[in-house]
Amino acid sequence: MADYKTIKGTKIQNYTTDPDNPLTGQVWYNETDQVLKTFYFDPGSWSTGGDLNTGRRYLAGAGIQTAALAFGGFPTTGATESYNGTSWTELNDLTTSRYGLAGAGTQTAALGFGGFAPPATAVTESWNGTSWTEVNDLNTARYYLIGDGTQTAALAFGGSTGSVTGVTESWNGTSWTEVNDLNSGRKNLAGAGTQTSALAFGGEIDPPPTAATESWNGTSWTEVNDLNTIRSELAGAGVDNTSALAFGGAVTPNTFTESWNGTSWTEVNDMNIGSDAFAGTGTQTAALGFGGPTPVSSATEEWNQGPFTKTITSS
Amino acid sequence: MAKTYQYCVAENWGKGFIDHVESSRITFKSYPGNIWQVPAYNKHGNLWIAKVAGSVKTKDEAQAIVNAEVANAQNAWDADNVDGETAEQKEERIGSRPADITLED
Repeated sequence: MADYKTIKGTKIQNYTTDPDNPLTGQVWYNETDQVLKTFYFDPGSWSTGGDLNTGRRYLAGAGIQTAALAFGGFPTTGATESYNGTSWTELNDLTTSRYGLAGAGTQTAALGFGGFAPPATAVTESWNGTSWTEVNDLNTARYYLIGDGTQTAALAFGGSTGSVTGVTESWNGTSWTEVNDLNSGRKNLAGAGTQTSALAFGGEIDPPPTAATESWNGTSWTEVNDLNTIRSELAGAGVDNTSALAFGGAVTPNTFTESWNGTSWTEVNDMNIGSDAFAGTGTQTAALGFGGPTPVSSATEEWNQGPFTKTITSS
Repeated sequence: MAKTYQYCVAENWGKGFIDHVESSRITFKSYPGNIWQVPAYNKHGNLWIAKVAGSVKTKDEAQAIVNAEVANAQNAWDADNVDGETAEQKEERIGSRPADITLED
């Protein structure tokens, strides 16, 4: 049987602190902790996070996995909660309670827009970390839309005005401007990215669900490769149109997870609980999914992928 | 025929209920009524059930719990109506009616 030195070309090294830039597969002995450690690539898995205080579906989210914001949802609420990587804390409500809205930004500087009050609303609210303030409306009132970007540079796309739409609007920190529509108008879609580099995927083209994916370059949408699994009411995470995660959705089972590499979607490990009509935020390698229909309306799941340092144990 | 799955009732307490290592080792499925499906005859599945103090149920017992929860959700959906609203408008407003669920052996 080959030993470590034969495989790696060196003996296992001793360190007083973990090496700064270990190679994948490298093993070392940490003298301070007196443990054997390795740097390995985790293909990604979901774990449970803290439950929302107010269970709901059709809510919106913003932020990252360890500093997220949840707001709005059904049954119609303006409830806003922040997540610290472990638990959710209740904060001040939206000014206009609604569901089927979209969000953008961070935990302390977010934007909430559109939704169903009812009726369909164009209301946009800005979050400063403490409270919501109403700002200028969307040009097209709609719900079941999606958004991404930041509090001062956001993008709103898709949704329903009573019928599906591909309307896309760009926010400059003060007002919304209508820009080029999605090629495929739809509602209950998911998205990822920024105002100038976004991805739209899945959704419902009144009524059949779709796997269609479109990439936004700051000016227009281009059709790219479809999701492997057709679905609506899914959630998404990702920082631009080259890296995203799609998860959950109104399909059986509602646990499917796919990763986007800029060209195509690859199926990765499923969610443990699964959900639909919920919210997602974060990145392709550290995502957060929360909310959904009863009985998982309070559930939170965390996705982590990538190289990690791990202590080697005997079990 | 040997069963493929086992079922238990356990309340998801949030962080740490299912961790990444467990998720990598076991395929979980969750169902209404705090029903969890994990592989049968599986050391890691058994360890997880012990960790969460899960109450093991037969498939039929688990199915009965799921059925009751789904019926409650369907009744709530049926009772949520707005005067003059069409079936399509209702689905647009609150989503589709919760579907029946059949557990696997």
